[in-house]
Amino acid sequence: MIMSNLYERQQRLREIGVTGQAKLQSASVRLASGPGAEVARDYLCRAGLGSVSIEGDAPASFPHEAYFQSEVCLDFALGAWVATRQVVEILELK
Amino acid sequence: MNALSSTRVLLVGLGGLGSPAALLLVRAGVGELRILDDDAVDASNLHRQILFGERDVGQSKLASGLASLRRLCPESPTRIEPIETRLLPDNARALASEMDLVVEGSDNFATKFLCADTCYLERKPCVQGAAVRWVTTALSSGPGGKPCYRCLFEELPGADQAPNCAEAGVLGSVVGFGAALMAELALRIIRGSPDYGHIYSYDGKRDALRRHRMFQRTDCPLCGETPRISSIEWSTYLESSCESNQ
Repeated sequence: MIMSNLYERQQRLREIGVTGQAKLQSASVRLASGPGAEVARDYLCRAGLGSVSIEGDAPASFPHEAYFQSEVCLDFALGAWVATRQVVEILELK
Repeated sequence: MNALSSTRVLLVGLGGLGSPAALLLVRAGVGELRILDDDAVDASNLHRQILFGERDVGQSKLASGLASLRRLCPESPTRIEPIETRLLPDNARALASEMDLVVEGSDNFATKFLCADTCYLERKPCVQGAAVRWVTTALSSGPGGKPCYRCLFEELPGADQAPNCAEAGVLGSVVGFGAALMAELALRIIRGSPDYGHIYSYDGKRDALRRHRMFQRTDCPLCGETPRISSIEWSTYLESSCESNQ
């Protein structure tokens, strides 16, 4: 079932809009396996990416690791960070 | 503060911040998690509210969220108690008084100020988060404030001054990052090494995570030298516009 307003809240971002959403929906992303990968995949699928796979590459190094003492929180933050970086890269916002 | 397994946490809002915060607190194994929300899942929630899927649209967030938490954390010892209400001036102090810690991820300033005031008056530590556009913030206040949320934000902004995520938009994974910061701050309190008096901000577009010191204000209306707020009154939390989707 396709629901028209699934992406409404992110499309309101001026950096995304209709054009950016179309870019996300035509993008394919391969994520490194390891901590945070499932979290990243979940957020990217929810953002409407065309395809997201997890493969056995080296895991991403996480620049904000020192802020997290709890491993549970660290892994989740890593996943959310990976997903955000992918979106920024696809939209060429850097 | 009690050990993790005997700590009771009140979570205000099971939305974009509350969903992952709940997941992380349950996964970490806090003793009890009471979750407040009275909303139903909307399709526009799904990009950031990770406990819900398309089949949950129209269903209660609490019922759907509880089922997801049990499915995702089958081994967790956490007792999860959903309470189908919002945090309101009428119920806030009673709800907070029974708990060790309050974690607030609501979507409106009225609830944020109510939560901050309630926690200070009940002498409970409080973690508060927010997210809009590409930026998320999280802070924790100790039971005695100094500083507290009002040292930083003072008074409710007018509806035209503060966009919420429904109006301004937000990226789901940025909200998730904020929730991880909130859960981290909560677990630090529980483990006896709190990080009170700092506000974290993360800008997902620039990939900038900052930890800023919050300063105590002697004229703070809540924890200052001559406080103006000594009880919870409805009139303090009137906001002219407030989106219902958490």
